[in-house]
Amino acid sequence: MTPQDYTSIGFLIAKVCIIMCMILYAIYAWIMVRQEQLMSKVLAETSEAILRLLTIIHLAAAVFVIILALILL
Amino acid sequence: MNLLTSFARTPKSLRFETQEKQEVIVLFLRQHLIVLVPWLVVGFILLFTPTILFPIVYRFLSESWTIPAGYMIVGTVFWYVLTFGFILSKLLFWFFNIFIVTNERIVDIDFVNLLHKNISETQLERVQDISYKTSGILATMFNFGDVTIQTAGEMPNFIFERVPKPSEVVDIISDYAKLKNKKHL
Repeated sequence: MTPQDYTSIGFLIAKVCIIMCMILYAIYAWIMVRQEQLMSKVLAETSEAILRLLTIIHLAAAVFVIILALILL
Repeated sequence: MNLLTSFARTPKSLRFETQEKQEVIVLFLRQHLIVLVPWLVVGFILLFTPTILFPIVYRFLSESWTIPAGYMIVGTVFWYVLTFGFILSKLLFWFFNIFIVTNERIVDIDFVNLLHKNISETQLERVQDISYKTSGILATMFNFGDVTIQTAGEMPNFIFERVPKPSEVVDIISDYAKLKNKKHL
């Protein structure tokens, strides 16, 4: 095996690890959305819509970064 | 009421899960906004880290091997998503840690973490003693402190931590507890 082969295997392992981390983070972002929904049942307040929007944007960003990683890495 | 309200007397646009029809919220509390400042500072530092730290790391690593541009782009974007998530989780934690006083009872809603919440309550007639404590320069400057409510029987004590205007909170709860006890006599 040439040094280039070792480098490409190293990058492949790094890519798999990074994407796995991103998937776990996207699950965490989804839990955040769910928790916000559950808590808003406990407390009904007008400004919750802003928080809900922020949690959804966060989830969308977490999914977007996975797609970006799949394209660029 | 807005997103950053931490003290409100008789809020109109608010209801909680177990609220009865005749029950009126007389006091709504969250921790003082000052508790968010350390997290905002950390968030601010994290926000500027890629512009300072990443070029140094890149320069250090590029001596031995080159990092493809894709990794740099994805790494930077993911860093900002993590920073946003960090600030958002702290905001959620603050937003859903609530103390509510109604004309019937005291409700403490604790959002412990993303997977665990805790809701405890006690009737106003069970309130035996109520006190507050402010300690430190910040607490004195911004008028916030811990309010401790001792309840009768085996009920655990309620501690409202770092709430704004603690003396006013004590006055309001005492008044309503006395009123409730008079009704019962």
